[in-house]
Parts: sequence; C-alpha cells; structure tokens
Amino acid sequence: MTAPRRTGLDIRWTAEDCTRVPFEVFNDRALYDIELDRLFAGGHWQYLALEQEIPNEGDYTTTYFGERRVVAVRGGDGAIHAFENRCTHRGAQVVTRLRGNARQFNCPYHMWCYDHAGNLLAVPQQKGVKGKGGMPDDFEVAGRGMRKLRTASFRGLVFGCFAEDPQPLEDYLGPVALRHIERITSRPIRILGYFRQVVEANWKLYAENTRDPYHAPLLHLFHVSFGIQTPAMTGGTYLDADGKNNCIHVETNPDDAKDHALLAEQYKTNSKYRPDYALKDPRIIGTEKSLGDSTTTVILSIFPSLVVAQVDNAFQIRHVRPKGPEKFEIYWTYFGYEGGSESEHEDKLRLANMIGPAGYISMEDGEAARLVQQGTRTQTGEHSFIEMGGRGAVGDRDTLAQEVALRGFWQYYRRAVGFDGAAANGG
Amino acid sequence: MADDGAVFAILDLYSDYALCLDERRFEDWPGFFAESCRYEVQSRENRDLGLPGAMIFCDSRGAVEDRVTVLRDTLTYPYLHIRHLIANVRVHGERAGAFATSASYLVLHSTEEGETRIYSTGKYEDEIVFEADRPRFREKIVIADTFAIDNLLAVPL
Repeated sequence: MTAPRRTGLDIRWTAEDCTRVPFEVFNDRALYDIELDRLFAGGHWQYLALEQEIPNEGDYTTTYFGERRVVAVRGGDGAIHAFENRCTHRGAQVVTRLRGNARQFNCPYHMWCYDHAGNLLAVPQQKGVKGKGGMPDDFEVAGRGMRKLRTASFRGLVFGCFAEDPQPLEDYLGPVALRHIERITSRPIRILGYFRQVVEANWKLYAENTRDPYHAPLLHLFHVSFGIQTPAMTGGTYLDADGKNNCIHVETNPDDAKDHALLAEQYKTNSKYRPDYALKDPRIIGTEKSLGDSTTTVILSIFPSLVVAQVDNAFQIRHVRPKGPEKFEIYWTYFGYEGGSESEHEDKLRLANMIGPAGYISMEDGEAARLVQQGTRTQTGEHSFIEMGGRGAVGDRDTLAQEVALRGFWQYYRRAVGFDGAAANGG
Repeated sequence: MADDGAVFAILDLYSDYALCLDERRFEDWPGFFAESCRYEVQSRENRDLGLPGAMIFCDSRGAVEDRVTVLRDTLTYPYLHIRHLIANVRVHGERAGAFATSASYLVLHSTEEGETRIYSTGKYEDEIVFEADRPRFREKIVIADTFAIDNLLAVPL
C-alpha cells in the first residue's frame, strides 16, 4: 500500500535545503491552479515585450501571464500600458490578433469600446433604443475598464505585474539579473525572429533545466565536441540572496585546449561523445563575439518564467508559458544587434541553428523535460535527488559540476506559492 | 513552360524526398540538394512579420550534411515513425534552367506504440535545377504553418 496521494499545499517536502523535490509538484492540478494565481497573477513582475516591438501609438502585442491573456499597448503619451484581455461585460477576449495597431479596442461580442490603457470608453445602446432598454441610470463607464497591470521597463525589456503596489522592478530583478541584462543589452537589439517550442512537461522542469549547468555538456554533446561548454571550462552560477533569480555563466580561458584533450577520459562511459566529429560547414563555430568578451554562455533565469540567454554567440529571450500542469510553450525572441557588419548579421542567421526548437543545443532541453515528466507523472511520495554541488545553504558556485541554482529556485518557489506558511508576494 | 519530362522528374523528386526521410535514410537526404544550395525552415509567423530568422538555416551543402550527421550521432530525440505527405506540387515556371515550384506538406508522427499525431503542415517554396540530368533542390524553403513545434524539430521537414 502506498500512502494516499497528497495534493496542493499538502504535498510534503522532506528536505529543508531542497535537495529533495517531491515529484507531485510536476503534475498536481491543485498546485498548478495555486501557481497560476500566486506566481502568475500576483506580485511577481513578468516579461511583457520588448519596447521596440510596440514603437508607435496604438501598437500592441499580446502574451500570457501563466495562462492569462495579457495585452501590452503603446499609448498616445508614449507610455506602455497593459491589461488582461477580458471584456468587463461578459468576459469575452477583446483583442483577437497576436499583434497589430489599433486606434481603440472593441469587444467583438457587443462592441464595448476600450482605449489604449484598457479604460472603458463607451457601451453601445447605453441609453437604450427609442427610450427602451439600456443600462440603469447609475451606470458609468468610469472604473469599468479591463483589469490593468502595472508596467515598468529596464533596458528595453517591458515587464508587467498584477499587484497594485508591487516592489520596484529593479529591486525585483536584483543585482544578478540587472548586471546580465545590462551586458546583453549593451548594444541595441535587432529582432531576427520568434520561435515556439511546445513541450509536454511541467513548466518547472524547464525552470530546473535553465538553472542546471551540470546537464549542458552531457545532454548536449554538440556543446562538448566543439568546445562551447565543457565540464572543465571556467564558469559557475550566481544567485540572488533569496535564490529567486540566478545565472549560469561560462567563460573561455587559455587552458581550454589542454582541458579539451582530457575529455576522452571523462566521457568514456558516454557513447555519444564524438571526438572525431567535424562540421562540414564550420561557420557556426567561432564566430566573432558580438559583445567582445570571453563569455560563451549566459543563462539568466528570472522567476517565474523568463530566461535571457547567450548560447555561444546566439542571444535570446525565452518566455515560458504554462499550458496546464503537463504542458508549456517556450516563446523565443531571437535577436542580434543593430549597427554591426553584414557578416555579423549572416553569422546570426546561421547561429539560429544552435537555439530554438531545431537548435543543435536547445532542442534537447524540451526532450529532457518530457522524459522527466514521463518518469515522474505517476509517482506518489517519491522525490528527485539534487546533491550535485553539495547540500545545505545555497550561494554562488565557481564550477559547472553543480545544481545549486535549482535549490535556490525551489527555496524561493516554496515561499512564493505558500508551502512555508504565508506566501511571498514578489519580495 | 516546363516539358513533361522535366515535370515528371520533379514529381518523382518530391516522392523520393518523402520516402528518403520516412525510411530514415538520413545519409541520402543531402543528395536531394544541389552542390550549391539553401535549405531553410521558416515559421509562418516570422515570414508574415518579414523577419529573417529561420529555425533551420543551411546556406551550403555542408550545412545540410551537418544536419543529418548530428541526427545520427549526437542528438537526443524521441524515436518516431515519420510520414511525409506531399501534395499539390506545382511547377510555376522556368528561368535559365531553374524551375520555381511549390507544394503542400503534411508530416505525421507515430510513436513506437502506434499512436499518430499531426506533427507539422505547411508549404515548400523551392527552386529545382538539373545536375547530371537529375533534379536537385537548389533552394528549399519550408514555411511551417505549424510553427509551435511539438517538442523539437530534429528530422528535416
């Protein structure tokens, strides 16, 4: 007999330092609903768009906070507004295209009319027709707008938050995220395209994946064969004090070639490592670094659902959109930089082969999450085992052979959804 | 307009292309491309927005060959039975020995346990040339309507 299945906030964590994560958190519907409410509709700042995607008055783009549809709009005053995409009348989705330009927004159902900030402007037949019907006399459009979000930008990235009085965005992002966003936006961004990858796994398995430098040179043999990332390279993890946001980083160093020669021994139990492997068209390897430094990997994970990343010389924003307890989408914004040479631009088009759903490196991350989902979805009272890099307190590490940022994520997550008593609300 | 012989050869090219991938003869796949070639998988979304980023971007025969080398040796992806259905092949015209063609595709994936799902649909916009009397893709642009990729895109479309 196994114990009765625990659900929601009754799911039991057996290790305070999060070296054990109960498998129920990856498939439990009650917990998922709590997450949608507390993580994706509460006090956490979430990524909306790039400012440059909506440059002109009336330009809008849509996204998801959890599963809630959200619209970001450039207003006439140049400010960016955001609101939940739901008519206050009967609840219909108002904005039906993914992106575009609109003078105003009309709900398709009864043509209720909203401005760029989501304020209700007019209701057809408010005074009735021929003296009959219409709204009660005390009806006013004021105060009946769509649910508004607070918005704030940092270096061209626009964030939104459902809470009325959230902490300042820069405080939420924290020093690790601020530093790495500043670096990656140190040149003006040029959007090259969007990619979408739908994975049949819980969204938190991807949150683990982007905080895990241990897997990179093992799952992604492409990484190792071409020296983009090997276990011996210089790198590690930076964490915020509360574990919320964190960053994997890898830098080249003069000993890499020597260390590379030792790989055959390290990989002797791995049939997929191919030291003899060579690309017929090697132009995607060793492209001139767009930011000029020795950094080859940055995977910045911002709670709950944003990743800002550099993989080799390919730069991206990844927005994670949950689609139920066992499905999520990764929405990639792939970018290069303005002002570079034509050859830099061509390099970037070729480097798309590294990332996205067909990327030599990143396609496998979805598959890894799917395999964990398959392995854990029936489990009750079992847990993962996360001790690579040690137990106990979390903090920065200067090696890639560790998983400490996963524990940082889980420690903050537990507080944020309310496992440890009162839910943390963004702070 | 293209003569019948050329049109039949082009139709055969599409059928052989589908069979090659469905029979997992990945090493033969680069042979469908001309010595100087381009193969891209674009999303309908990027195409409509006029953005140049492609999910797969191969602007040389070598890059096409690299796609299948990693498929065989280094990538982790699920084992699936694949079926390419290519229809509505149209030869739009010829200029200097190069034929502009288009076709619709539907790719079905079936698991090892026999469950089938639609994996991808979209269109090909191609340019075909004859090398040593055999038709080859000088350019093959896949425009995926199914750009929300189910898990991953490893085997070419």
